[in-house]
Amino acid sequence: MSISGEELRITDSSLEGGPVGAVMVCGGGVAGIQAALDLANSGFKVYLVEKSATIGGKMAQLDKTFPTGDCATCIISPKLVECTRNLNIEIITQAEVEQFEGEPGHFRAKIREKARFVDIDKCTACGDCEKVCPVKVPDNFNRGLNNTTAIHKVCAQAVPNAYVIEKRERPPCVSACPIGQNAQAYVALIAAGKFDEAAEIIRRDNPLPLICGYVCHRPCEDECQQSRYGDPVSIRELKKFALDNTQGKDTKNEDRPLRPERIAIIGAGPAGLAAADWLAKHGYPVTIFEALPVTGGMMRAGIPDFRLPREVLDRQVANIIDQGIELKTNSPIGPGLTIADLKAQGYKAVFASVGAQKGSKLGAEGEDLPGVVSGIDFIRDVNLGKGAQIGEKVVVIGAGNAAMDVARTAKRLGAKDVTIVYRRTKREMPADRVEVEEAAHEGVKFVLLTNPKRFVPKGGKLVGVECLKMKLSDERDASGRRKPVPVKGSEHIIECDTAIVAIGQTPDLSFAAGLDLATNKWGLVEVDPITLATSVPGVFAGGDVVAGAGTLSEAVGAGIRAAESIDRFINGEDMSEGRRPDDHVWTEDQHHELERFQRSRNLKKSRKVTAEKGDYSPDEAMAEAARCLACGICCECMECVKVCQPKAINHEMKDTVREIDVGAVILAPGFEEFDATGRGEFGFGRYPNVVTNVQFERMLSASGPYAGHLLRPSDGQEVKKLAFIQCVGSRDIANNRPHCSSVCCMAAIKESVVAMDHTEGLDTTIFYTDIRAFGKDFDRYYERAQAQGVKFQRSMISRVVEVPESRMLRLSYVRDGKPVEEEFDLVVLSTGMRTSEEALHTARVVGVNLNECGFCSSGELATVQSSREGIFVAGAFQEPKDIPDTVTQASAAAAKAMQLLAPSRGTMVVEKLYPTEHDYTDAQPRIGVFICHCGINIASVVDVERVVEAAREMYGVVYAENVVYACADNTQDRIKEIIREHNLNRLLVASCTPRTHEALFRDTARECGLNPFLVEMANIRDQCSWVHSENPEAATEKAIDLVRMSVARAAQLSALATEELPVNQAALVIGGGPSGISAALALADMGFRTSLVEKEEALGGRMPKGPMRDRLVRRASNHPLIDVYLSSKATKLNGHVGNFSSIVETPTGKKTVTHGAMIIAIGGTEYKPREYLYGLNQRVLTQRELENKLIDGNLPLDIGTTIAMIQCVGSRNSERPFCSRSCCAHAVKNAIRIKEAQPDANVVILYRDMRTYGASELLYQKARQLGVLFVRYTPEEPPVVTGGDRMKLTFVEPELQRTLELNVDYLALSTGTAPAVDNQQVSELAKIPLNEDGFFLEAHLKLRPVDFASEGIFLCGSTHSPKSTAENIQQGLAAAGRAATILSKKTMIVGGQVSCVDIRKCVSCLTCVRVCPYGAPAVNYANGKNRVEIEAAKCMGCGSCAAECPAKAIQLQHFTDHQVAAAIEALLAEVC
Amino acid sequence: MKYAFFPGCSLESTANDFMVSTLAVARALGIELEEIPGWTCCGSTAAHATDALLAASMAARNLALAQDMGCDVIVCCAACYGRLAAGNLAIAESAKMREDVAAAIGRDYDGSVKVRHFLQILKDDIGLSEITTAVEGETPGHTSKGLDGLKVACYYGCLLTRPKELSILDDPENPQLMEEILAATGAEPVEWPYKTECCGASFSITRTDTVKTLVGEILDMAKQSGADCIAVACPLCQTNLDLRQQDVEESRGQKVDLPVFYFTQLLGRALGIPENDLGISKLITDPKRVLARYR
Repeated sequence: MSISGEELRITDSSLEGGPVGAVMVCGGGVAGIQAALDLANSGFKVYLVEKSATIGGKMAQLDKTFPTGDCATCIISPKLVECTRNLNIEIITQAEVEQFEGEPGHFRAKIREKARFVDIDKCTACGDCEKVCPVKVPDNFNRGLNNTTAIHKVCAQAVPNAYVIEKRERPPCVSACPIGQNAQAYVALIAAGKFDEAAEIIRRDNPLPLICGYVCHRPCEDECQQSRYGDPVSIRELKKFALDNTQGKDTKNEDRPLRPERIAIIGAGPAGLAAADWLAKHGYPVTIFEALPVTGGMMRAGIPDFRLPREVLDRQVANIIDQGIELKTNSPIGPGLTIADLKAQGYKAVFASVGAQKGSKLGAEGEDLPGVVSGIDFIRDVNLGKGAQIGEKVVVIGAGNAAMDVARTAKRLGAKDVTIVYRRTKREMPADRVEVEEAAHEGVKFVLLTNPKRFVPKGGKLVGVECLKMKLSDERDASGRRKPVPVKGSEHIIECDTAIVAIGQTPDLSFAAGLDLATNKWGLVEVDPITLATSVPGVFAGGDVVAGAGTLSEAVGAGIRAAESIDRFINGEDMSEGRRPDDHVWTEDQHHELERFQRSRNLKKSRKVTAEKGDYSPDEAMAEAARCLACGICCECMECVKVCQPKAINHEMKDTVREIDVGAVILAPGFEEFDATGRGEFGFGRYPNVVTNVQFERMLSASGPYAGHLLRPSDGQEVKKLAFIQCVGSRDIANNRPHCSSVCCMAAIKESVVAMDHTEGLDTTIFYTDIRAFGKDFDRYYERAQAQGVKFQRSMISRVVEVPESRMLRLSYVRDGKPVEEEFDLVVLSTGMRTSEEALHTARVVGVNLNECGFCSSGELATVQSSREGIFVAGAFQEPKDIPDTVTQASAAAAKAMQLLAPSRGTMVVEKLYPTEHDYTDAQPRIGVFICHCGINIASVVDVERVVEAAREMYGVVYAENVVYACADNTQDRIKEIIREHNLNRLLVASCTPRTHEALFRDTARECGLNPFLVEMANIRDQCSWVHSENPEAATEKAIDLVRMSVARAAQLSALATEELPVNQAALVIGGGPSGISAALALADMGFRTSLVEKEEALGGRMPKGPMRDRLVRRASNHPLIDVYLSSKATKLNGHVGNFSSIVETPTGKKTVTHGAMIIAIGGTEYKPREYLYGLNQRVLTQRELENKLIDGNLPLDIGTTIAMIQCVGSRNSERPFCSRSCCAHAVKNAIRIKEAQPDANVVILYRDMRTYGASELLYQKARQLGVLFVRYTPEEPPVVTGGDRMKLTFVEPELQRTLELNVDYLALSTGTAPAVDNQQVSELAKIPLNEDGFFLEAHLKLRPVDFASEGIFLCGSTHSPKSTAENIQQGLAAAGRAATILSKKTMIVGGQVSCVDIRKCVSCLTCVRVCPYGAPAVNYANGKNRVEIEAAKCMGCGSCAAECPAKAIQLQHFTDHQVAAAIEALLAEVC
Repeated sequence: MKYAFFPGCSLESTANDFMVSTLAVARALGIELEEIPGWTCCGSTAAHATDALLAASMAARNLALAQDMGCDVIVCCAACYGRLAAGNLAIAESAKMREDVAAAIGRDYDGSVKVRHFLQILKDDIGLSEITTAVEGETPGHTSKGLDGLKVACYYGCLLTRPKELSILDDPENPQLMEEILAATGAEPVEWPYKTECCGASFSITRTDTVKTLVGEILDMAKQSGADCIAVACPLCQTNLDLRQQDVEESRGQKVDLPVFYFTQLLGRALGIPENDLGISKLITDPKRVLARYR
């Protein structure tokens, strides 16, 4: 959404010297999004810096979320959209921080935004580009389970809703080509069946394309990466195929600019022709001087016609000459006509491409004998029809392509015996292997490791060649090949009557007569390697005259290069600027990088497709082309540019670097899943049916690669047996991943349950070490999964074996004491979390420390504080965590940033101003209808013009037109123009979905003074063209119906008023424990007066004793903005968000406290055990009591003192079916304390599952290293304790199935947390719900963990669910951060789409009161009739009350009965 | 290219076919093998399990001799490779060990001689394309068929793959080295899951029943995977898989019939070396049926 400057208002001027009121949030996952929204909604500018092309992070990849079974996409998408719509959040995608400096309040960051190649503002995400993109690459969003195209949208819900092009550097095949032919592009286009387009690409850069298709030396294939896995892609064959199979014509540039400067080209060989072509296309008059009577140079004189058909050559040359080039054959340049003469004739520049026409001499005795000829002379004579003498026995000396040509030609001329003599071995032969084999196939003999010494005459005639045997020495020559050395005394004579020396050519420099032309020791012309300029100004040279015997494509490349230099020379420009030397070879680093990239794609070996007969058939060509690995990803074929109607694509786009000033930073870069190939024994990447949990989420997803069907990747068969292997890359010291990833247990359970919904009778087993179901409602979900048949097998699987043929996966494990082998269709690896490379980079740049697990180190109790002040951390980058904990931590980090930047709140935010609304209350409807093509998304199916015609006839419509993209910027302007011009009072857009676009059109309407509720949308894309693409006629009819319905509804729409209410910028916090104090302090530090109500005599709650507790209590007690009420209780709550009023009963009497928001932080209580002799034996303690004794040194620890601990006392039982979360870590910490104090004390911990999640897993490992014994027990057979001072503990070890006895001195019970007793009272007071365990029920378990459905009330701490002190503090901060989004505003807007009660119809039945999730309806005893009224400030506009009201007394504004009825009537009008 | 060759006791005796085929292949590819003069036992006895110093010293003695030759050591036997490489590592990692070893063998040895398996030499020093060229023959137009289409299960066992620090392989879980080399001869190695399975060699004498089970499973899997034969790089693997094949067949009452070649024998065959020079007649499971196609 673009906003013009004059419409913006900066709410406050920047404060001099204060901190910068902006925050950089790194990472656009759910943590980053939450932090950004909280900050932006509290008066801070946010830069949301995301490394990928979309925000949404890992959550967007998930299918469902537990325990509610919500679709992950459905619940995160609205947040993504909210981010884009927030004027104060600037989303910077594909970005990373490059530099960072400054201090808290004043940081400066340099951010590099990678080129996207698609203009976000112009892209309408219509997807037309994707349909024509020929490059298929693995879809990383689906973790390679399917392919996507090089231009793509990361996922359907991507935000920004725009495409992106993925590019790497120029692929090696293209780099290797001297002509710079875009091989990847034409190969990709052939694979896609677009032969014409492929030919177009080939011809664009190559003036002699088909000749190259016949005889190019294929440097591209030498560099082809596919050759590392099998055969290279047959690029030359494919080029020939494309040119042979195209309908198109060779391109001619008809409207070229004409230049007056004449150019002379010497030689009509490939270099000369290429230069002439380029220059002619650029408007230069060109004259070619050719010494021979024919054109083509070496192509005609040097290449036999069996390799290059003459009609092909003629056609290609004619194509060039026919552009108006003057051709002078039989016109040698030399003493007769010098270059100086040419200049005098007015030629402004000369390109010398005379080739190398003289055969190199062997320098052997007898070389002048008749019968000894040079290869080049021989073949030229043959090719030009001059006739050549050939004997019966021919020896050819040399092993290049020319030698092969000579030998084969000699054979064809009737020589009986043709022998090639070469001094090295086959592998050193410079000739193309195919040519060598062809020659051998035709009967040419090879004598290798043999060197001619002299030509033997007899009677003045040649009778043989005397040769020496050679051997290869270890010494290398300049070319890197092993140097051949003669074997002494091995002289022998090979009889022959003709010897042809084909060892190379040298140029004839007579063209340079009269010029002082620099040459080198080989007699070649010296040129500048970049410009091809010779030592004589205005004279350029290229091709064999420079390179010696080069190749065809090198000559063509040189011609093009020289032509460009000539152009620059004539224009007086710098000839070298921006050009690189003709350097085709990749560096080792480049190769290495590319190989890494290709290896990540898990490629299989592939053999090339051979043509069944002669040339490729289209199918064969497409199959061969499909083997291309797309090294450059995007091949720059420009097909996307051709189809993009909004002109959004720009392949020239560059990275941009910008600097931003921010006051604080929140790091939320998230995590990367562990690379499962690191656990090679599980066969990931080797066995197709072994997938990661991320892949599995994509498999389950309806929008995923398998459309939600549970299929085996190997063969697409339905999965019947499924196994999960837990802790892959977690709790793994060998792989340097010692931490627990916290979420995988629940994720696997959820994935199992969801999978069972997908496939009936699915057999699912989870192989685990401990099930860590420690979060709110997790254990209940775990138990439900067990009840539904998910099998849980405690076992560390050691490896996966794939059974050949069936591709079943065999796992071996021990069940009930016996070894078992079981086969599964699919194995899911629950990969753990690790920090991504990008996050490590960001951490380095911004200067924060990492901990031993590679996550961001943070304070023990201040979990959002990084090692650098002013930089906060949230989400999995701090420690692996699930979505609710991530969201909580994000709000907490936002709160910390707000605390730091409080003085600058509102200094950098913008607000949009709109013109005054017109009043159309009694006006006749004047509806404007815009029917969108959505590129071709709608228009290719629906006859848009017919819909427009129909719309014009509809009642109330005064204007209708069709637009290509309704959402495009220029269309918005047009819509505004039309609204004003036609005085429209309703706007109807028939296009896509209101979910993404309604806000845009409403905004457009508001800019014209139209009430936003006078806008209506008809979805003729998602609900029409997309689903009825096969039936355009019916789709058009349906589109007309949809528009008719919307027109009818639009006519009935009325403007809705909104109201501004003042906000009381004060807060009330109930509960003075760690979470409540943290919340109060955060709010007060932000500048909000806060009342803190605690029922006990002192603050601190259950927080452990120590300096941290003292500090918190002291700060809260002394803060000028905090009013502490001790021994007090809130007893009454009135009002609504922004304006609450509470009664607090204090020891000195009742007090009324008014506030805009409220936080409930009343904590939990410790369960007091009745079991295990607690209270009967002094030596039985709770874990907390043990801890206090250890801290105070009150526990005598001697050698041999035995302390046992029992976990889950009063937790995970029928009475309290939840995990108390912190007890395992607590027990382990106490055990370590004991062992550190007395290494010879014995500590035994009896547990059910050790739930030391996250980094506390390291404590668990440490405890085991210190010798603490961990023994499992089952709830069916709990331990039994008897005795007095020396107690006896009896328990059953479940693996051994044996009863064990242990004498213990002390027994510590890890007792659980129970809900606070006051929960019920507070629940009634604030009309907020509790869950079945008695904890408060938040608005949404995943994404709103500290909110209530009722606005303005928040919760934190153990009143939400049991948690550790650090987590309580963090959640307190989060609640403060959320409350700040309300308290930071002076006023709030209410009304609009809310429900209203017609009190004449209301009978006060209370149905609406019960059904409303937000507590908005209430009986108003003041309205005289005791009827229900709905508090607009509380109403969320869901319509539940309107739907349920039996008296039909409630109407939801904007969806009133008559509006809905009008739409239905319009549809049925024709039927009825 | 010259290398200090450490044959080890197996290649001198039971694995003589490994020895002759190695020498023949080396000759054909221009690899010069010079036996370490006066080499002694690598320590692949009980030594390494009982005495770390003895184990390191036995390796060091041989490596010190090789150091005088000034070239890399080349080893074929997997056990010898493991012991020599482990000795190097022990000395390189601990100055104390180096000192103790010096006292034991009477000279200082710094652990710097490179110990390399023949497979590594073939891939890294000779190169796959060179092998293909050699297989195809020196004369253009007379390309040998090599081992075109031979389905071979490459089997590595344990000593070349474990521990990770000594492994000669990129990916010890799914090695590809032998596959790549044999593929260069035109063979088509099968992908199978038991490449690094234990063949039971350490119980070869004490618990033949266990070994029979393990060998049976490996042979079964190779068969199921579509292999015509097995290629190995360890004398013990070869002996176990080949020698016990009959036992497995007898106890199961069905033929397995999978010849177990040293990779050098297959490579030599592809290079056109006569079978007599490759010790092929020493194999217990008759390879005629498999090799007949390539005559």
